[in-house]
Amino acid sequence: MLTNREMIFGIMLPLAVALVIGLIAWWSKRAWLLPLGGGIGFLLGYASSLGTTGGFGLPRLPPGDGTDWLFWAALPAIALAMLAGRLGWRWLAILGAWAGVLAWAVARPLVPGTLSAAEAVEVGAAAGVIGAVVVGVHTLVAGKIGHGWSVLSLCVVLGGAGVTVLSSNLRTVGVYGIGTAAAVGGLVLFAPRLRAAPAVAILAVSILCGLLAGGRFYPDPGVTRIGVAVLLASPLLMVVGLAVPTKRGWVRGVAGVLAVAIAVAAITAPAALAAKKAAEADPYGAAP
Amino acid sequence: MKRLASLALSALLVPAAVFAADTYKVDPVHSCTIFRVGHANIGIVYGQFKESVGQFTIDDADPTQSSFDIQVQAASVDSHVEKRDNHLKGPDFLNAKQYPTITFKSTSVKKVDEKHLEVTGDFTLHGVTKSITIPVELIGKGEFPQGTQRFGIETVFEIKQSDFQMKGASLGTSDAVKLMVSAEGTR
Repeated sequence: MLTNREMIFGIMLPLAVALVIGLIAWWSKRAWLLPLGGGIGFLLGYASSLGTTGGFGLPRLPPGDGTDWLFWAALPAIALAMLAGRLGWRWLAILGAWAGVLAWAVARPLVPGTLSAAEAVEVGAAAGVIGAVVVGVHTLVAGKIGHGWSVLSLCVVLGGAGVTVLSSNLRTVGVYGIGTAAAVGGLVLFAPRLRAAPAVAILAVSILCGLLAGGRFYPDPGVTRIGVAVLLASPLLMVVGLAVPTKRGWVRGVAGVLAVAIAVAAITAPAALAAKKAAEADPYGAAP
Repeated sequence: MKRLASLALSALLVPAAVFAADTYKVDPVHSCTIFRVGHANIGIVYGQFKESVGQFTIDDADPTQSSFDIQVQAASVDSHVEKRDNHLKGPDFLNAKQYPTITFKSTSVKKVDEKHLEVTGDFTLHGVTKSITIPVELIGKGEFPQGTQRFGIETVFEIKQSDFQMKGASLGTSDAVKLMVSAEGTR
């Protein structure tokens, strides 16, 4: 269970900030403001978890915990996403490769104890490729099905990843994921008019890779290898919508989002149920 | 004459043996590191770290020359609930994979009285090193079992999680954590 503070500052605040900035973006027709809304929502949710007396805080630079690279490495991701939103060029899908830098930055502090330097680079390289492919696919899907559906599917994936990480003994990072999902979800209504799904995807997939790198390598038991693979690949399932033989965009959108949601649920639901069961059977409960 | 010379030599050597600084290796079986932390502003939770190593030197003649060097394995945290232990080992608290050891290495020692020292040293937790001063009680020394010299010390002190960049204070635990360390050293 989430605490009231996590609900209000970790999830509702990112949503509210994204909605306000999204509204400004929609009104001023500035697509680049949408990823900024999602990014600021994420950063504020993150900062709210670092205050010791109920306030906000910033992680150290360089961070103490490797997972805090998620915060600092998200800043360039936000900038790149804004650039993509401003320029709107298709080849900017390559900027999704920043996800690899983010995943590497999160994993690297565990070298050489838990990971070798080569393994950390492999993690980063794989995440970089996946990041670029996800943004490329969502650029295509958004154009054919709709930008709102694309952003909605990214919200589903981030939320699922957040719950999975939280269920794997990494509560703070899990809450960051759920908060980011809330912020990205707040952009769904504004994305179609601004055609901003690719820009939002750059931000979303970068944070997704960072979340999963943290959830996979830092806690015990951590997110399983299969869990990471499915959650990373799930945004690609939006292509299912393209295969639906109809001209109605919303039908294809629903089909795509459903395909993504089913894949995410296949990983998230068992992890969450196992955590719930363990909490019920154990006097520790769901809170520390 | 030969006997007299031998006695004189012995008389010279004895004080050196009596007042020499003795170095003891921490005996993990008879040592313990307990923590006490508040939970949700309601109750108190106790736990321990089960693995510690290190050594300390006690100088009877000049206690200020004593030294302490203790390492505790962060992953050995035990709060009697496995699920909670796993959570405590993660980045929400200790981040034991990234920071596997909690260490204290003395830098100066002040004698308070025959049984008490005030020890200043570098305390490293969660990758952050801070100079702290802790009270150390010299519990006792003796031979047990025969042939093994032992020395016992104890210290109780408090730290703040936030001073060491830990996130526990935002997760329902108190910022202040009391540590109770009892170590028996052997030589």
